[in-house]
Amino acid sequence: VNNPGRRRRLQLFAHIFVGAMIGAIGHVAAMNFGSIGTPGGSGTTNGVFLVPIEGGSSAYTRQYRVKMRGLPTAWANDVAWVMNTSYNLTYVYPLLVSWEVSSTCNDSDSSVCVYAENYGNNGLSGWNACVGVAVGSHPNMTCTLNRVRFNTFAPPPFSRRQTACHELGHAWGLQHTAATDTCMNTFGIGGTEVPSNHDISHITCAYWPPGC
Amino acid sequence: MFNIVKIVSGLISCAAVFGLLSSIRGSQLGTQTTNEVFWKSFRVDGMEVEHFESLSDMKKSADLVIEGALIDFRLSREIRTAIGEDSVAYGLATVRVSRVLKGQVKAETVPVEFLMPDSPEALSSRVADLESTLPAGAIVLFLRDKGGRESGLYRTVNSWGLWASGGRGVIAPLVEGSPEADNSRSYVAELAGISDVAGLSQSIANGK
Repeated sequence: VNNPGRRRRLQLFAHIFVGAMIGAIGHVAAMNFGSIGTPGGSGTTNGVFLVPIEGGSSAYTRQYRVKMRGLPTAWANDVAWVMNTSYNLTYVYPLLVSWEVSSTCNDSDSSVCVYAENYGNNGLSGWNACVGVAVGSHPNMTCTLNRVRFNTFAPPPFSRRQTACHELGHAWGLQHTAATDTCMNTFGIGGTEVPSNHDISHITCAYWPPGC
Repeated sequence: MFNIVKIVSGLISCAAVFGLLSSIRGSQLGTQTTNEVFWKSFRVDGMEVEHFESLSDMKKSADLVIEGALIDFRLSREIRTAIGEDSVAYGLATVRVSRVLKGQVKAETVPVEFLMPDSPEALSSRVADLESTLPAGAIVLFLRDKGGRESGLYRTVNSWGLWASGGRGVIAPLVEGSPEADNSRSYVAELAGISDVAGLSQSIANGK
């Protein structure tokens, strides 16, 4: 019992045990940070990290490329505003964030395809869904192609920019939050048209770890 | 000897804390029921137009609140837009009504549409899966009459508009996160002491 070596081993074991406990607590606390993929069948996954397009003509080799498909002018202008303002991260990260009106949108050259149509009375002003190849598991699931749909059925109680910021945020991998200083609030509470600093930190850590 | 006792008691304390954490996490995740598995197929990462501070507010706003059971599910319609590569599908759930908690029903069943987030390529297999795995048990629905060209069809008022019995008691399986992450904290207080759908139904009938 009074063997100093045995006591040290027990103390070492205790330290390791406590360390594992702290690690476990940290894991639980960190669960709300990261993608929140819906691990359903048929490849349906929402709010997952995008897979940047590799290659391109600029100095940036990885791209988050948004293609607008037949959007009404008002929607196109607001999506452009969101890309230029809310997610203008091109000069922060070695990741080119771009948008364009396009006649095509597919897995090989796009990250997000954006549509605005009258989808009927479904209670949503917009939604995001992975339609490309989903890889991995929550909270690190990735998707090669997202579709963002804006529903023009009825004027929503919040702005088009807010909806665009929200849905394009899902395409980055951001999840819903109760915070009201971000466009990622589930019900648009707060009226914010930009992501929070917390959201930007999340994107930084996901896409450019050196800046994390 | 005293040090050994201290170390051992410390380890026991840590184990107790770990056990407590595990049980909390376990209860958060719960045991998935068929209802949970079935309805989570319709979870959508979207921006919802309607939000209610409480379930009583949700009841006041809803056109129809019912308790019933799902007896059929099939593809309702597919909206093909001018943009060729895209389409959006809705599934049609037929719910046999066992209790009307608000509003009036015209028949013993109510048709409820759900947006299906699946890609067009995956749609047919998903519908087949759902058709063959209808969950048993009662559900409570807070419904909105779609009206207009969709007259005769209902939708849930939002993702909190469908309740079923689950591993954690009464659950809202269309909701991705927790009430705390969704500006719906007050629901937790309203559901205190309610362990199943029958209890929720009675609570709503009593005026909550």
